[in-house]
Amino acid sequence: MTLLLPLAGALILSLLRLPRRVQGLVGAGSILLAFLSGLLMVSSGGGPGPYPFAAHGALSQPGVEVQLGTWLAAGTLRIPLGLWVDGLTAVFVLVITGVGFLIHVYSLGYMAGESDADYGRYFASMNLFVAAMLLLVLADSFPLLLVGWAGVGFTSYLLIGFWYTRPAAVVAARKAFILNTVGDVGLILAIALMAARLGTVDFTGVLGPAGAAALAAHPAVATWIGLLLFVAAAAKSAQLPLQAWLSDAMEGPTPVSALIHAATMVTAGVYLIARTQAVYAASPAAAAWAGDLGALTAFAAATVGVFSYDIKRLLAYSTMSQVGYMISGVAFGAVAAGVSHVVTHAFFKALLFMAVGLVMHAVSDERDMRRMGGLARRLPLARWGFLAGALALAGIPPFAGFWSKDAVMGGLLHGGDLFAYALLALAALLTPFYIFRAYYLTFGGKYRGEGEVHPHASRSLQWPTVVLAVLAVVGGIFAVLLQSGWGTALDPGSMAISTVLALIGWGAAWSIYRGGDIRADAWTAGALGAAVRSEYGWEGLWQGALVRPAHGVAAWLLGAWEGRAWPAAQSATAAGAAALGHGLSLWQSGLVRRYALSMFCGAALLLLWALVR
Amino acid sequence: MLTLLWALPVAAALAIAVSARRGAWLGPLASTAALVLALALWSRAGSLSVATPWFHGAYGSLISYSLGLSGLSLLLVVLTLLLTALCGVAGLRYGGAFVAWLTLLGGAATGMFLARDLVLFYVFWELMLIPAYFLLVGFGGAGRRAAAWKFLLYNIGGSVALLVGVAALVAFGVTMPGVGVGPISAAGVPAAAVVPVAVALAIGFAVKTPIWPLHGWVADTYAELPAPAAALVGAVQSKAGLYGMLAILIPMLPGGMTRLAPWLIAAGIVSALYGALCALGARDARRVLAYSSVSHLGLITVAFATLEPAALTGGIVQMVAHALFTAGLFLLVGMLEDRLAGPVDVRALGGFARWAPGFAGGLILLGMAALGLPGLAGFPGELLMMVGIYRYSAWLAVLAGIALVLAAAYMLRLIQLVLHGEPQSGAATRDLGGGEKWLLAPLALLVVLIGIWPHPIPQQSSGAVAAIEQLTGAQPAAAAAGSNQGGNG
Repeated sequence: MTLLLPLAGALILSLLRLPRRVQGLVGAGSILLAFLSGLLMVSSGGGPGPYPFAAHGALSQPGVEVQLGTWLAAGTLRIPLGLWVDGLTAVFVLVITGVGFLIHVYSLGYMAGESDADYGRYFASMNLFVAAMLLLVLADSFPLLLVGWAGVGFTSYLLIGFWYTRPAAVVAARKAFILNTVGDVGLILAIALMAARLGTVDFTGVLGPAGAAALAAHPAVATWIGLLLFVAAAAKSAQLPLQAWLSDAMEGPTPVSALIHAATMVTAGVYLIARTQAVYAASPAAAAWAGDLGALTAFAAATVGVFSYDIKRLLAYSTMSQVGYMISGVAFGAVAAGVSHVVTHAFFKALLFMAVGLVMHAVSDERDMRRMGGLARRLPLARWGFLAGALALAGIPPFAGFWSKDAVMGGLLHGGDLFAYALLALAALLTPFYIFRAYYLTFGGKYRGEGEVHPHASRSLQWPTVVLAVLAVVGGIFAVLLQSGWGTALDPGSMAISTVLALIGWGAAWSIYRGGDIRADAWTAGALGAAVRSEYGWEGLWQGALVRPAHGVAAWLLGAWEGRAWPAAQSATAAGAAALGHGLSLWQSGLVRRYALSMFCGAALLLLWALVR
Repeated sequence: MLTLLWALPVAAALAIAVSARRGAWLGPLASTAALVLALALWSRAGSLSVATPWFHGAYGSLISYSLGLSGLSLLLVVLTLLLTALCGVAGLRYGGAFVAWLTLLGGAATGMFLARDLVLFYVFWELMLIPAYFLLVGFGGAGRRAAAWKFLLYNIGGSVALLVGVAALVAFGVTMPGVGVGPISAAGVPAAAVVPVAVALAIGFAVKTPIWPLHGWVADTYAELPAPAAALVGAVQSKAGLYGMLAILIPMLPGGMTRLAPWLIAAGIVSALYGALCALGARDARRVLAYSSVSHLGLITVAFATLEPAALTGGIVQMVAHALFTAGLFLLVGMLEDRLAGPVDVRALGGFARWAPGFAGGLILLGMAALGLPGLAGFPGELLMMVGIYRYSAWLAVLAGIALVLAAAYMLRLIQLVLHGEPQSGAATRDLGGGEKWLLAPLALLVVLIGIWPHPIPQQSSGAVAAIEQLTGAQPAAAAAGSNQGGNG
């Protein structure tokens, strides 16, 4: 039910031509109903026990599986068609539909300037996204998960490229799709490996006791499965080395960035690794790769965030960085911490994007902070919303982000990987710095832009922002409940370290930028800043090492082989045949039809000879 | 009953020809009637056959008129008749002669998928060649003569190779598997002849499919044929070679197939990558689709040659899916060509999404199916093929994975260059009309349905796969060894 409602919404919106009000009503209403039915599912024990918060060990216990039939079968391999609900699923379902609903409402106002057809296309794509995301977390087997997995990638492609007449949006959409396809292939190979070595690809088989025993008996298999799953997670969650698409994805409408590229889709990798704990438990090597790369992403993306001018890209780097925390946490076994960070991050990052959306609406879609400033008084809602989000992101207690981010770091401190912990601690220092740099440069000081500031926010833009702001302030309660439900205790020592780090970062930003003066930012302008902003030259490497060579080989194959070598070989063969024909008979006249006739006759004669002899 | 399946279209083609090419609508009508008949037989696949002695050949062999409807045959027959009907409707405006040739092509392909006698199979095989040639020469684009010459050169070469193989099998007294596909004794073939005969058959099948390096005819042919004919040839005729592998090469010469498998796998994987790269660079949308086919069919060949049950099943599912989206894409490109009054040069276009949202939706849906987006028809087969290929060799699966990523790249390039960006001059065009939408609707619907619930296809083809598994019983041991390497590699 939860799954079908958004899907029905998407179908209705894409096939019928509806008036604008109805489009919005169907789009947002179907998500609200999905959220309510999700609540119902959780509270009525659609999952075993009072999920998601109370049941201890929810991850290790088997969830409720609803088998609907066979999706595909070949030889001994059977892929079921069914759904799977447990505590992990319930958390994701509620975040997806809950935050998804708020963002749909926000979109009603944000996309009001689009034509009727584009308005419908927008909500159809958004609903389809929610449906695919729900399938991703509700599937009971890896192939079905992959259907949802690729579905969110496809809708993300549609929405990044929503303004398809803009070349930058088109390029960004393609890049996102292709990098995500790399991840999909990783998941396909993981499935193939499971099928070959475990003989099953559903959750019960792979992650249940039998699968866990098989994985424990073959650590190499577990390692390869874990690494391939991480390839998929890295592509979807924009982690090194497949991170390059997320910052470009900011070409999409801002509510899309909030829903897909901050709150939900990019956390799919976290879901995948949390879901496959059995694999990572069996292979410390795979867990270390995933966890360290996640931590490295958390740090590297934070450094890029420090140097960013484009406020949406800054938030995108912040997202990569925060998802890095989550990945690192779940990979090293701090599942409750990582998943609770998904929840709080969904609140405060969606809030930050909404605040930025309000700003962009007011300053004619400007995204460069150097042409903002002084907006605090003109845009009070955006200002207070951004501030609440920034405090939560920075990890300042008692705001939401603190409780979950600290839990991840505490988990790592005890999980024993100090390399990853050090990287995350450095990132925790940088995070308050870059987000308050953005806050002061955007809202403090004097307005530096050229166009007029037009504050206009309809009610549909306002109240989701307010709701999320409240959640960003008090949402930590969910994180703490979730952690205690899954048996993770708070760690005062780690909490003290995290608080000090956050305050130092904030203090540094305050001392440099508190006046909102752009001149204080001169130090980011140099060659170093440019290098960091280009993601350390990653784009050039990617283009030079893969994209251009592929196109070069394509041109060479078409020119040298298809254009010359093959035709030459054909001509030679043809000339040989013609000479033969000339020598043998008088039929040769240069007419293709004659050749055809003679060849047919020849073929027929051969046949007769074979039959009658 | 089975005879009607192929005879209805052929009779309609003859009727159109006799009626001085009026009544072209007879073609799609007869194809539809045969399609309905085939669908009525859905649950009876595997139990229907016809056999009448035809004439006596050499060595006391009996050539019989023998048809049989296995699950695999049924899938391909349904597909062929559906596409013959749809392409026939799309081709009505080219006149009676066009529809007649097209319908004849569909009838011949249907007969070939039903034949249970080697000679009969070969007769239908050759019967497909003639209409394809005349469609090309009679109705093709500006470069049709050169294209037709290439088409003939390759296909007759392939036919001769196939003929040698078929004649040898007949001479050695090997008969085609019946409906139940029992074990066939290949004992009649002298050990020394097994490999040469298998090579001859493989060349014949590889040309038709086509597989690199015998693909030289395909780009020109698909570019020059009128769109409905390209759709039918690309979707159906290309399955003849693959079907031949499944129905003749593997069951009748299992030993030869095992010897040949590494070569077929190598050629198939080169096809998959070579085709994908060429598709990435091609300018004409038709050629993008042609090379895309080379890539897809190459991967199916790899899957079949591994002889893994999962790969065989996946390859069959992918045959069905490929036929649906390839036909749909050729028809769509043809509709765009009509509007542009010329070939679709992807680099000179853009912005069609603005003017033709229906067209854009169709191209995105079918293109996504072609690049294997999970949830659409291109995925289930691909997944099973990858599972089977992985069991054979992990590295081979990685190479196949690269082909899948390239598929995303070239398909997105096609979609985006045509649909997105600023509308170019001349892009202001009308969207798909009602008739065009109805023509594509069945294909789009099937592409979605198979993506959501693919199970009925492997259910139909499980008999064929099980039979092959039984015949190549020695295979699983080798496969297990391969997967061990994979797991530890």
